[in-house]
Amino acid sequence: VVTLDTVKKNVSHLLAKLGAANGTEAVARARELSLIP
Amino acid sequence: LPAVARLTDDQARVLLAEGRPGQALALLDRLHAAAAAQDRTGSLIEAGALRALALAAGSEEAAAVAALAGTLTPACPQGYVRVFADEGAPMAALLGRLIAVQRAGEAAAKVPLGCLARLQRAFEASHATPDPRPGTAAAVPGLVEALTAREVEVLGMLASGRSNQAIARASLW
Repeated sequence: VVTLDTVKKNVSHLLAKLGAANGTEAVARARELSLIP
Repeated sequence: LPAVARLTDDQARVLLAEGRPGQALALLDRLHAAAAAQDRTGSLIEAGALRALALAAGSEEAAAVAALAGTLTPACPQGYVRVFADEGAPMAALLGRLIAVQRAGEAAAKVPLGCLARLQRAFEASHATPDPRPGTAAAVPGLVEALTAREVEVLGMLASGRSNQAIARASLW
């Protein structure tokens, strides 16, 4: 278990790296780039 | 760049940052047309780059990719690369999409591969923050910076529809 803040920090970093505005957009971008199935 | 053009470009950036891509686009369309009419290459390219970003922000995917391709074609031979790299993550993401479209052979206008490669190198140079765990990260063209293994893990959980709270409970780092 990690703190909610840690998760939020990771999420905000990956949004920035993917150029995504939110989680849904990040998932779509990551699928485009084949980072996740 | 003339002072007026600089001001309008910055206004467009502010509108984009405020989540008003429609207004940014209207402003950039005018700026783009004026630069084209007066044959001001630098302004034309900068407005073109911002226009592509405004289209992307407005979810006009295909138009954004086409606008970027249309701007890169004259920009690259003249050495305009910084203009694009300076726009950061959103431009890197859009570049990634353009590369994907070209690879799939779906692009109307093809930007020379050498041009795309130069642009990618410019992005890498401007975001030269070393990854804390380089061995675990996936280097993907079109990404500003590789994701760490942990970020990929979080992404996977986001994809399965978990909330931040649920991710926190499920994570063991």
